[in-house]
Order: sequence, then structure tokens, then C-alpha cells
Amino acid sequence: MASFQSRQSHLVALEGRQIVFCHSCENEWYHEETRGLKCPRCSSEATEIVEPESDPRLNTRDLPSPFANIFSNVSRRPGIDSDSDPEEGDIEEHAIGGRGGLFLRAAASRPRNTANRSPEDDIMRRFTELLGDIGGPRPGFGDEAGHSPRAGNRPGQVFFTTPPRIHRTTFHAGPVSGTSFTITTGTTHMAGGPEGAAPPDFAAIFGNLIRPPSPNGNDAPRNPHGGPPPLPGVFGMGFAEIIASLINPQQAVRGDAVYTQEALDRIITTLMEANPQSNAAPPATQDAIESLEKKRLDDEMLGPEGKAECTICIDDMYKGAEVSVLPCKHWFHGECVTLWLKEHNTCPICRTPIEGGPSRSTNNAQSSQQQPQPTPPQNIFGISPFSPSRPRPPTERPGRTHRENEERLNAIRNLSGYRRSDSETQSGVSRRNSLSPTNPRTPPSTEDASRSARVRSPSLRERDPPIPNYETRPEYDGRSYATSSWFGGGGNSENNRSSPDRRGSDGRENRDPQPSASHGPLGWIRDHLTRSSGSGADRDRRR
Amino acid sequence: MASQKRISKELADCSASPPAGMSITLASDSDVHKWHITLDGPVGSAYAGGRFGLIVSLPTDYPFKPPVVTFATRIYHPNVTNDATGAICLGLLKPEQWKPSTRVQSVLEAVRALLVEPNPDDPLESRIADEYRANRAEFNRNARAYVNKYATGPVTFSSAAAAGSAAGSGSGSGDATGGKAQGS
Repeated sequence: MASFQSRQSHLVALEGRQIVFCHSCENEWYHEETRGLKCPRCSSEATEIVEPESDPRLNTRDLPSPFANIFSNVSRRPGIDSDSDPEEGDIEEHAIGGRGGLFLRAAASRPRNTANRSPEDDIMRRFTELLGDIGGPRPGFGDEAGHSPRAGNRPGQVFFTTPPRIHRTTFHAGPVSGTSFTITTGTTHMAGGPEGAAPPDFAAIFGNLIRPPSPNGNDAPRNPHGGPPPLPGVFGMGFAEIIASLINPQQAVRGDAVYTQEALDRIITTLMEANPQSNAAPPATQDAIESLEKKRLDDEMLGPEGKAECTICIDDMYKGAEVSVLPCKHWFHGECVTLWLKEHNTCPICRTPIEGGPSRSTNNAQSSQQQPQPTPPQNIFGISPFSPSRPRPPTERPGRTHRENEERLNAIRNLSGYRRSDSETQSGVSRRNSLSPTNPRTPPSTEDASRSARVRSPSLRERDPPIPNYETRPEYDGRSYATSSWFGGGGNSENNRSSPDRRGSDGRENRDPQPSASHGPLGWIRDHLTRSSGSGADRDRRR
Repeated sequence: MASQKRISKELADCSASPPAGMSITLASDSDVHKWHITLDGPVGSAYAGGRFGLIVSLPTDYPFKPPVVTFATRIYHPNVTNDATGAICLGLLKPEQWKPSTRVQSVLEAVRALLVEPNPDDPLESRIADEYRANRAEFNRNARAYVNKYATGPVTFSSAAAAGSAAGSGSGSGDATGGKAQGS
């Protein structure tokens, strides 16, 4: 190493002249276009143009190749990464030294690494800083990014009078590998540049960072090798990919992970397009299919004509044929309906879910054959993100499942301070009617099981909006149980007959809680989410 | 194959008593999955006097998947894409609304009903839907112009044939093409 250029007597950057630094012999000289970048002293091509923000002369050791230790540096410098968390306490200690958080962070990590700082360290520090701050500039930050942290360490260093907003660090590896690597970095808050770069600059900056140097791009003038090969492989795959994904929403996907809302939206869109069935009802469970009632056709099922057809295969069916009967009492060939149920858990005729619990099916059974079934509310809009029916645990009898659902949901409501006496399991119906616009009467939250059973009767569901049920209405407390006329209406009394068995099941409800992790919360969310749309549908229908 | 059996039955029924103003043929005798329908514009609608080609593609897992119905003839309609695809926005064909108990005959009647009464609230061509709502006279004029231009000669099924068979999601995701209307 030549003594005439000690570390304290670096060449000073002059306006319009660039200093080139040789990584092999630590020589420095003013760049002249005619001479290229080869070191005049040792003829090495491992040279770098010195820029104020990335001065390789600061910490040079004998480093034949600037790439030699980059990744080992990464692995043995975890402190940098942890420092990159702007929330860390030690950053505040350095707040005096700087005015920006990221800048501070850089300052914080610096003293620790000064000893072995090298060009690779500079690179990696910048990488980690970028990665740490990839979310964009912090508010109130960019406009006050102060002087370079390095300036604090090297007060004697003279800077360009007008430092560039963006500076590059270009490494030219030796003739053997023939690669070059350029880091173009905004002198934003993170590097302590003059002014915070605007966020859009990031994309360009990072684009430069991850792109292989182009033969005729802005790197070319400094590259004596003309068309350089791409970045070293591990760079190309590792950091480049991560940064690209973080910067570019279009590519913010890595494996199974996405980093941005846009990327997630795109994936969802793609999935929905790839699977147009996704709006439809989900498949029925195998157990639900297997537990369907099987019957031989009798006269009652066939009706007066003495024959009927399976509406799926439209084959004629006669008395004695074995059919599968759905909870809605529609029947089909067993194999026909199985094919359908494997795709959608709804009746092929009335679309009543086959797994909705017993009360629902009994209600539907009263009318299913004679009149069109009410369409599940979400189908009105053609969007049914949730099925009104819940998947129930396998091998459960429907009644039990129904009760369990209630219990789970009630338990969840209690947990969340949300009390609702109305049954969740009638959600299909109650949601549809939940808008019954102006019924302010609501069962109080302290309602006991018997009253809630009453609320659950079909006629009540027709009238009682579930939404306000969790409010406590003092005036209601005084009402006697016998005032069901206001509640259910006289004309619907026959519908109330189905109440007792429900009441029975409800009465057991609290003795026998069966918490479920599987769909309790989902059911609650689903109910809340779909209530509004179901209500809207109902309103539409009433017009 | 179950679907073939049902389709054959439906074809027989449909051919024996086709919906009003329609005639049904198979695209090729060997393939019951593709029907060609000739539909006369319903009298009293803006499409009266026109003859429209409809292509019904029945998937192999029909009736568990809805058929795909497209117009082979250009038509000026809020619920039909105004291009050679001729995709139709028909609620009962949407995957989430499809029921296997629905028959092709019902679908065809629904298409015909759509010509009598367009549904501007669920448009594929929002511009036409707006026009239908806001300026019915202009809409009728444009629709008749399309009839005169495209729907007067013998019906051909060539243009949309490929689109019909490929359009697995044609009716379901059709809203994405809304607003593509081209004036003429």
C-alpha cells in the first residue's frame, strides 16, 4: 500500500471529477474517461467510483474481490437485522445524532460495525435497511433526513457541494469473473441523503438494484466489460426476488405468501375465475350424504299419477323404487343426488341445504313439495360466500348437531358480550326476514331458554328481526309469556307447534355445552356478515 | 353416461314441443352436447322480425353443471355481450344458482324472456343498460338496427361456436366484460 495515500489523506472529490478507488491496492485516482477503470498501479479491475455516500476507502482491508464475503457477512451480522427494527430502544439513544428514524437506525448500527466495515458491509447494511423500511417512507420523515451518518464518523470528509439524490455504488469484479454489480440507492432518509426521495423513486431504485446491469444502461459507462453477465446467482434469486416482490405489487408473491393487498386480491380473483363454482354452495360432507334417508317410493310420494321422475336424470320412477330423501322431502335417485351433493350441499330442486339442522328441515318439509321453497338469501344476489347451512360434525344426528351449534354460538356470543336469544340455526329464515323493517320488540338478553324457544318458532322468525335482539328492552321484561300474540300473531299458531321440541332441545342447551373450534366463530362471523345482504334481499323481495 | 341419457331425453322433449318461436337442431348428429337453436325475435319486442342463433353447450357433467348459452348472432341487448362471443347473463345459468332440476327448455324460455324484457340491473353491457333505462326510444332504434344488420338473413352458428364451447365461465364471469359496448 502506498504511503502517499493514507486513510487520512484521501483524494477529495472535486466538482465534476470522480474518484476511482482500487479495491486491490487501495489506490485512488481521478477518473478519466480515456483510461477506463483499470487501476493504473496494479492493473486490477476491482475498482469502484467513489461517491460521497459510499466511500469504499473508509474501511478497506485487503479484499481481492468485493463479493467474496458478502453472504458470510450477512450470516454473521444478525445485529444489523435486528437493528433495522425502528421500534428498537437503542435507536432512541441515537436520536440526538440524527433527525430521522431510519437514519437513526443506521447510526445505531454503525458504531458496532465500524471495526470491520467493508464495502460488503455497506452493501448489506443498505440491503437490510431497505428491507426493513420497505413499507415506504415513514411519515414526517423524508423531509428531514439529515446529513449522512458517515459524515458524523468522518467529520473531515468533504462532500460534493450538491450531493446527488441517487448515488450508485458500482463494483467491478476482477477479470476472472467479469461481473459487475451496481447498487443504486436513493439518498433518502435511510442513507441520510439531502432530501427524502419520493416513494415512486423506490421502485426505480430497487429495480436497478435487482436488475442485472444492462449493457447499454446507465451502468455501462462504468463497466469496462461491455455486456456483463447477470448478477451472481444467489443475488438474483434471493434478495432480488424479495425486494422485487416487496416493491412491485404485481410480484409480491413468494411461494405461498403474499405481501400486499393487491397481490392477495389478484390471487383471489384468479382463483375465482379458475373456479367459477366458488360462489356456489359448498359440497356436502360424505356423512351428510350417507345419512340421507332412503325410502321406497310409496303412493304418497308419487302423487296421483302413480309415477314421477327423478328430476336429475329425468327418468321415470315408479312405486317401490328406492330413493334418497332430502330433509326438504324432495327425493331423487340415490346416485343422482349424490353426484350433486358432492358438489353442492343443497337440494337440486329447492336449494334447501341438507345440513341445516332439524328445525329448518321440518319447517321446510311442511311446504316443500307443494310450493316453491324460499331461496336462501345469498342466492338472491348470486353471491353466496357462505352457506346458510353449517357443516356439521360427522356421524352426528341432526338434532344433536343443531343443538350444539346453538350452544357454540351462544357461548361465543357470551364471550363477546353479545347476547342474542334468537336462534342462529334459523339463520336462513331469520336473516331473510331480519329486516322486517320496523319491529323494535326485542327479547331481552336475559331471556331464558323457554322464551327463546318461543322466539324461535317460525312465525316469530317471520316477524322478529334478530339484529336488535341483543339489546335489552326494559318494557319487554314486564310482558308475560302469554303475550305471544303480539309476537307470533294469531294466524300462525299452527306454526308454533313446532316449538316444543325446539324448546326441549334449547333447555338442554346450557347443561351440555360442547365448545367447538370448528365452526362456532365462523358461524358467528358468517351470520353477521350475511345478515345484511340477506336483509337487503328481503327488502328487495318485498317491493 | 347419465348426462347423455338426460340430454337425449331433453332433446327429444324439446324437439317435440319447442319453446315458442324456436327450433332446435344438433350442431352435429354425433354430439348431443351442442345444440343449435334458432330463435325468432319475440313479437312486440325490439327484436321482432329478427332470427337469432343460439348455441347451447351442455357440459359433460350436465345437469350438475349449467349449460353455456351464447348468441351466435349479434344482438343489441344489455345482457348479451356486444361482440362475437355473445355471452348471456342469465341468472339461472350462474353456477351458484344452477339447479340440476332446471332443464334446457326452461333456459331457452328464460333467454326468450330476456329478449322481451331485458334486465338492465344486471347488465353485461352497462352502456346499453343505461340507454335502455334512460332512453328507451334510442335503445329500440339501436336494437332494431342490429336486427336489420345481423339478424335478418339465415342464421349461422359459425362465429360463436368456438366461444360457446370454451366458455365454461362465460355466463358466470360475464360482468367483467361490461362496458365494452361499441356503438354503431
